[in-house]
Amino acid sequence: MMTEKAWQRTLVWGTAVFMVLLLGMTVDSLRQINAGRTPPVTEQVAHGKSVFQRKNCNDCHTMFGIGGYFAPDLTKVADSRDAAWLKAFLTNPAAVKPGTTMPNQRLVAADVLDLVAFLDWVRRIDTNGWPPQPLGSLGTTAGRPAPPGAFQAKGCSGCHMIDGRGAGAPGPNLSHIGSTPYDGLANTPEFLARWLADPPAIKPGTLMPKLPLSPAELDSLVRYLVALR
Amino acid sequence: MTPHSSVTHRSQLVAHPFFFAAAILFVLQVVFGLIIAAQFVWPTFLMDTLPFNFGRASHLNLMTFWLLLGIMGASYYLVADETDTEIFSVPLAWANLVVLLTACAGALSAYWFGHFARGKPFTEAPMPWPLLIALGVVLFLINIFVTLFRAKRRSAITFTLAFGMVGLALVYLLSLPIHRNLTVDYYWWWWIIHLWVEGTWEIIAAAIMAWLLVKLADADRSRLAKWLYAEVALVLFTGIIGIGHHYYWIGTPRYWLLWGALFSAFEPVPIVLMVWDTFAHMKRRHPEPVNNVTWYWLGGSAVGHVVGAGVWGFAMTLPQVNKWTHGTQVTASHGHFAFFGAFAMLVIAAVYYVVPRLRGMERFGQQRAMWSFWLMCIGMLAMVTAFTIAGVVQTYLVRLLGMDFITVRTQYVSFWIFWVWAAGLVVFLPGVLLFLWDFLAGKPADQAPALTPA
Repeated sequence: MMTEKAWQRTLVWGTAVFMVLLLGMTVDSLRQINAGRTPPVTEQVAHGKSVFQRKNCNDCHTMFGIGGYFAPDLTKVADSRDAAWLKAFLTNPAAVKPGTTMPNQRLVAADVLDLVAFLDWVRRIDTNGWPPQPLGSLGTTAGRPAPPGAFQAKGCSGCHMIDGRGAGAPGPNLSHIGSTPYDGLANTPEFLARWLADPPAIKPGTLMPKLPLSPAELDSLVRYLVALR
Repeated sequence: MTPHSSVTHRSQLVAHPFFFAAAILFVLQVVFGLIIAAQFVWPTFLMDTLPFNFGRASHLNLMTFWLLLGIMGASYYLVADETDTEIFSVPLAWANLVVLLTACAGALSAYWFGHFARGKPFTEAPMPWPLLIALGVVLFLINIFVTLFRAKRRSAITFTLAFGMVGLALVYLLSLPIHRNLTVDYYWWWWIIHLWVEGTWEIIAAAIMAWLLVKLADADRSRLAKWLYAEVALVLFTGIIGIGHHYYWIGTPRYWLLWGALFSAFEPVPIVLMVWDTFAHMKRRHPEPVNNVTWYWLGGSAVGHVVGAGVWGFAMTLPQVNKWTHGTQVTASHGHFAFFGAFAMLVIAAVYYVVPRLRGMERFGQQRAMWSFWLMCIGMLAMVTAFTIAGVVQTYLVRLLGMDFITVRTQYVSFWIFWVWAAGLVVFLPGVLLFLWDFLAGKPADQAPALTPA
């Protein structure tokens, strides 16, 4: 039977052992972080980071999944947005995305450039594959039209299937929608454009929702659907 | 406070202003939570005066401050009681309180009026406020340690409490510097966040829980001491390397996926033991009259701890799951459940044990307190449920289907956050306000009708 003193010693020495283990792993982790898991930190990147932190960006956005859950994750944002777009958006968000709730941070031009450099630096960090590729992403198949960005962003594959990828229900399979009309509805570009703009207006009671689509998104989706033959 | 108080040591009265400040900051924390929840539903609400990021910073910081102040108030009372001596210095305790409140006010002003911060969640306070926080904690440590060293009596409870307090302070100091590399910055940041809430705070909470069990139940001291050491040891042996579940995706080496998963899978074990232990003791309760509601908060804390921290935490701790749920409202559901269950409920239990004694009565009337308890518990349960659904929907649509984050937020997540907001406003907030009212105006049981006569 262990005495109270013995239990106390177990606590103290056990904690010490695990702290030493953690410190050892910390030394190795920091070595690996600085030896290539993260790119070298330039003055510009360091300054961009301090702008990012001073403006408290991380309490709306997430970074490595840490943060506010209110605005998109920024870990790999520079993969999908080029430097020119990021620069324009950070300078005046509403000019690039009308109606956005991202506040104009009134950044001077140098701060914007440093932030863009910082985001590009973060993009190149080895995050063990996070964030993961969505399971619903279609990718491209040889000889088949490539899905436009809006197809994934609006979650179309959550209801429809194309070439064996996506959900089999409740929406119809769209693999050949360009050559085979569905349910007596037309498949002309003009009709598809009207349909996507407001499905319930054409077919009351349809499960297909009215999605917020910009004219450019609508156009890209119509051209994609027509090409699916 | 009154000359009628029934404390054995006058210096114990200093717990009162700590609890009072904690209760006020708790109310404020909930108000800011409601503001940022409203911003999910009506994104332009207060968009220019208090953008979401600074509202969130206020919500998080107020929580840290009120829980810390509550723990400190409980500790001053507890240490004097356990050592059977006066606290070393009451003015020092006041200085400790004033310094921390100043730091809190300073940080909040920077968010509200300057719109600037230090940039990492929970520790957003810009300089010099982190230094003031450190000073406040050091003053507290000095006061507690001098008291302990001069005392004739030592106990497992005071040892564990002091052990946790030193850890809390050291970890905070280690994390003060800002590093140029964001990955390194977040590496050390997790030492505060994780080694506080799944390490040192757990130790302190276990000590306070054990002390309440000694006071309220016929707990056998020697058996309780061994239990306390064993539980705290298990918390640390699983939790220290369990920090690895935060090192999956931040640029840290791949081996953390294995180490983090392995150790954090066992993190619920000591929590389950604690609950079992608590309920085993609660069965042998004292005949001495005591707030029934203290029992409710104590038992509630045990349950909230195991479900909020244990079950909700475990659900997302393995990398195979965490890869998909990480960075969604699933984390928010766990955060609310665990902080409320493990820490907030325990601090409130301590308040209901200590404060009536500071006022010279054995207990308050029960009716208002019981309403407060059930409103807070039901409100929190509703909020956590809504957060969890929001998180699962978000995980499915954003992570699995690859839908656009903002589309999902505005079309789907905001609906569930509306229910978080509604439950917070209509159920949880009234419970918190009743708690504050009871704190200010609690009357002896014989002057107020008791719900359940002891």
